[in-house]
Amino acid sequence: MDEQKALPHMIQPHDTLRLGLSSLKDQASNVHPVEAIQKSYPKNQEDLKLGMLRNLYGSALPARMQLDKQILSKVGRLPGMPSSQLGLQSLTGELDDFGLESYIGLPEDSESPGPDMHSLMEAKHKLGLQPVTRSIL
Amino acid sequence: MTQGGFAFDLCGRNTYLERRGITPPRFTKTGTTIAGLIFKDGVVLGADTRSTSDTTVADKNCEKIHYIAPNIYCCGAGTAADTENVTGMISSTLELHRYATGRGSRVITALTLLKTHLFKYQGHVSAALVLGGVDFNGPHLFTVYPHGSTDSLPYCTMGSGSLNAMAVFEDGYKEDLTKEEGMDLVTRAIRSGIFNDLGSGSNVDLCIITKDGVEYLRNHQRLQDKTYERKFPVKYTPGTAPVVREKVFKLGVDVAVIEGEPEEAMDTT
Repeated sequence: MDEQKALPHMIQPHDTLRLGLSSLKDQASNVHPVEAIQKSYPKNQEDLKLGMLRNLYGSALPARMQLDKQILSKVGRLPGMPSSQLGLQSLTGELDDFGLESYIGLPEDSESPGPDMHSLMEAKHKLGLQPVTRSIL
Repeated sequence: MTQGGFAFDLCGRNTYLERRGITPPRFTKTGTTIAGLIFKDGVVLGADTRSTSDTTVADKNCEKIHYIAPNIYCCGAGTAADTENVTGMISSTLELHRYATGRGSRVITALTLLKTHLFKYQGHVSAALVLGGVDFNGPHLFTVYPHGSTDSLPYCTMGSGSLNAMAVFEDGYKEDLTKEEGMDLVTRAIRSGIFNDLGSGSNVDLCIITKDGVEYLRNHQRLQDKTYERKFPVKYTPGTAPVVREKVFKLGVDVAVIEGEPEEAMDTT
């Protein structure tokens, strides 16, 4: 949370036509505490699990698991199109999960269009812009 | 938006509006008395049926005992939407788990799922629960607090009327109660919440779980029904309005009624 109190450096100019009217401060701060929890929770849990495995079995096993995960997460359609990522889901055990993200606020029910494929490809190849994360509403 | 889950699109706008002095409508809370106890061969859960929105009664006969699994039920207090969605989510997870393993669900599984979810959201999911069920280890009863801490107790209460209900339990609970005694004690506990706590009211719901099955008694006691219900359309008895003045007009023609057979029957062939 602490690093979000400071304003980030502006790496590139703000694209108002694509990202909507916003200030740098709006983007830097989390709007809702639950948003911060949702962002940090999966990463924290994974770090915790890998750390535990490292302590138990040494560093080789978690390294290998991460390699598997990296390979499987590369399989998929172009960004912006839905990819099932069956291999990755079975590896992480996500296949058996049924959480809020499975039935609340599904992207196909959203009233605002998702980020366009052009900006998603640019983001994928690190050519600059981040894809739109919030609607312009 | 690339994946489902909570949407935070309007949070910025809402905080801006609140800064400008606009108060948003409050959540519907259950304002509840819920209770449960373990008797000789099972668990009795009980709840009142009032849900409140700020100072208004939003629903006089809502359902607070939620289904988790065929052998597990859960009473919910707190924000009504949170308790309903959390219990619904856990019940679907357990259904999938039963489907994958082919075994009956255990109460401890439901408890662990609930507490990890609630602890993850650090109290933002405001659900205070009483979880009860019977699995092959016997009857179990747990309370789950909104921040994810849990208790395992022989009898427990939750919600705004928990103090009233706990007073009745502390007075009347003993080990190895029979089913009837347990039902009576839980009913009395909920009733003390209904009559003494302003957040609780209306009817008593009960749910009795034994290893043989579940008995869900919806509206076991109706305590605060309307004493008078308006009937529509309104029917007035004759003589309701008194006759103040009477005046009889005599028509020009005298009509006389003569009794007896008519002179000639009408030809109907």
